[in-house]
Amino acid sequence: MDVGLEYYLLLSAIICTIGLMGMVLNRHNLMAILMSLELMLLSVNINFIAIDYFIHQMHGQIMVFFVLAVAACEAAIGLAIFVLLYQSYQSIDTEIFDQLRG
Amino acid sequence: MSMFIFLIISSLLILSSLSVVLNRSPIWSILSLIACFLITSIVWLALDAEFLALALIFIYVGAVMVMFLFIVFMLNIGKLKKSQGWLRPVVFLWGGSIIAYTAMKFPVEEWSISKESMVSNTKALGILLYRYYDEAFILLGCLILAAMVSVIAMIDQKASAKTQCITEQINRDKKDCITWM
Repeated sequence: MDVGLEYYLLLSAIICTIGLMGMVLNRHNLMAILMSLELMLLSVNINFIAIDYFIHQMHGQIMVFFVLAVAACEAAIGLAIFVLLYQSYQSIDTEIFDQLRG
Repeated sequence: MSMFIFLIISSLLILSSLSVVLNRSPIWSILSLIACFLITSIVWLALDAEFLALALIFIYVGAVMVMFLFIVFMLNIGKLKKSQGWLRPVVFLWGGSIIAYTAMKFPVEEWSISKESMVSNTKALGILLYRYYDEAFILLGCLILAAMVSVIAMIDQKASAKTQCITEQINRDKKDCITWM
C-alpha cells in the first residue's frame, strides 16, 4: 500500500507544531529559537515537495531551493548577531536584552 | 513509499525533532537537528526530489549545521535554563490540540502517483530554474551577497568602527586644531 499525500501533510504539520512548541518552551535561549525556526522551515519544505510529487509539478521544488538559500542567509546573520550579543553581554539569554524597556 | 517504511521513517523524524526541542544541551539538540535533516532527505528521495535531498545534506548538514556547532563551541553557552514548571504541560496541550485538529481534517481522497518523467530531476529543476525563474535566481545571488557583506561588516566592526577616544579629545587644544590660519 502506498502512502497518500495526507500522511506527508500530517507529518509536516506535526514537525511544524513541534517547532512552534520549541519556540515557546525554550524562549530564553536564542540558539534554541533559531533551531526551532529551522525545524519549521523544514516542515514547509516537506509540504512543498510532497504536494509537488502528487500533482506532477516542479515549481514547488524551485520554491524549496529558494527557501533553503534564504534559511542559510538567515542562519548566518542570526549567528553573527549572537556572536556580537555574546561579546557585549557574555550570554544569549533573552531576558537580559531589556535595555529598550520603557 | 510503502506504509511500513513511511511509518518507521516518520516516527524517527518526529522523535528526533522532539529531541531537538526538549534537549537541555545545545550540542545534543544540534546533533538531533542533523539527524532530522538526514531523515528528511530520505523522505525527499522517496518523493523524487533527488537534487534537493542532496542539497539538504550538502548545504544544511555540511554548512549551516557546522556553523551552528562552531558558534555553540565558541560561545560556551552550557546548559539551557529550565522554563517555568507550568509552561511545559500547557505547551504540550497546545501543540497536541493543534496536531489533533489537523488530524481531524485528514482527507481520504485518492491521489494519483507521479508518473515517470523523461528527464532526470536535476535536469528538470535546472531547466525550470533557468527558463522561468532566472530573475529570482539572480536576486537570490544578490541576497546571499548582501548576507555575506552584512555578516562580515557586523563581525569586523572592531577594526573599522568610529568610537570615541576620550584621552585624545581631552588632550586636544587650540594650537593643534587651527594650524593653517
